[in-house]
Amino acid sequence: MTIIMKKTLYLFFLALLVTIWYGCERDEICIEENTPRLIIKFFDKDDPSRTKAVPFLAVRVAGQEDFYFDAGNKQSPDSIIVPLEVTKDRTIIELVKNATDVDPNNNESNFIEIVSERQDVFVSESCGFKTVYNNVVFTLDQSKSWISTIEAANIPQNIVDEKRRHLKVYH
Amino acid sequence: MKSEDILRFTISSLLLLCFLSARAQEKELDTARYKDRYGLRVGADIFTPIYGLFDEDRQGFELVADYRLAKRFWLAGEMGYLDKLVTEDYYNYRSAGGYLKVGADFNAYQNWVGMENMIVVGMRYGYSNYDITLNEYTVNSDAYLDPEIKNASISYDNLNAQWIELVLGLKVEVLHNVYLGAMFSGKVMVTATETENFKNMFAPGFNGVSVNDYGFGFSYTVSYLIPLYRK
Repeated sequence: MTIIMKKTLYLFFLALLVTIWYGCERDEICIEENTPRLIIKFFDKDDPSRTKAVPFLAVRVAGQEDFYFDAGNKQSPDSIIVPLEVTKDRTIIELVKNATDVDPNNNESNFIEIVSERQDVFVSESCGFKTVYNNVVFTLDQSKSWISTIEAANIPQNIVDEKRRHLKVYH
Repeated sequence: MKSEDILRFTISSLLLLCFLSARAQEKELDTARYKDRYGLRVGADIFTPIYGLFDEDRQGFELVADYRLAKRFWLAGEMGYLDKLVTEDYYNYRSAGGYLKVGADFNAYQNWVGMENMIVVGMRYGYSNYDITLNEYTVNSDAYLDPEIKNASISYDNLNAQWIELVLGLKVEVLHNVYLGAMFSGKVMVTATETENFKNMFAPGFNGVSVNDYGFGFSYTVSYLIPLYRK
């Protein structure tokens, strides 16, 4: 075998190995959507077609110390997003209006119970599993606080992605 | 197999290639009318058992054999068993089962008279029958709510995979009738049983299944030639 043939063989080997190497690149970064969160949009109770922002809103899942969303001293947007439990079928969220008001009498709180049929769905090698929520039922507490009524955006309501609102809140 | 391992074996095999060519120059020419030896070569992969001593999550063995059909062609095959625990960020699973590969090897190396070394270029058809068990997982969700490990213990039994692989390697006669081999294989999955609500990501014999259905394998073999006749 001539030197040139040998060199060609080495190159051939190297090229093949590099090709195989790149061909086997693993799916290492999770870019797909994971567990969807609940999207709530706020509407005016007197004119249900108009959105209406909540002043100084803060939201948390019942049982958690920290608020997931806290507008602080800024005006809140007219929609928010909240994660739901992935190990229980039932999640209770607390929505506080005027959360930053120094007078606690002005902190108005409402609770919404979310019950669904959970399902863990495999997404991809790097993302693993996500939870989706089927046949979701929303129930407003009886406290007659700042929320007047709530309504699911669709019937039946499934929460499988974060593309559209899931719950409409009138106040 | 991790990238560092792949790199390590790439380098060591290239070293073996250099060793092969060095030997080629040492050997002296035999007299004319030399007849090639034909026979059955049997052996085993030593990479998996040795690797298994250091990594209890990957256990197995592989037997290899080839039979010389013509001056430059061999009928070749491997059979083995592999049990691997794969741990990912959000879940872990076990894939265990047996596999069989059959195909042919071509010797791309023009030996000097009396030498029986090989630069192997081969093709294989691979078949694997295996079970996958998803042990546990954590749902990939917002970190606001504490993540919780869920014990799944979901078994996907009697799965099959079939693939084609291209084999590249070296076989060097280090002692009389004893060969050391370093073999790489690049694989393409042809069919594999679908798993409901899970993905077939590791098949014994094929190893990790990449996003585009490619796989990669490596083995170090020690084999013994049982000479049957000369031609």
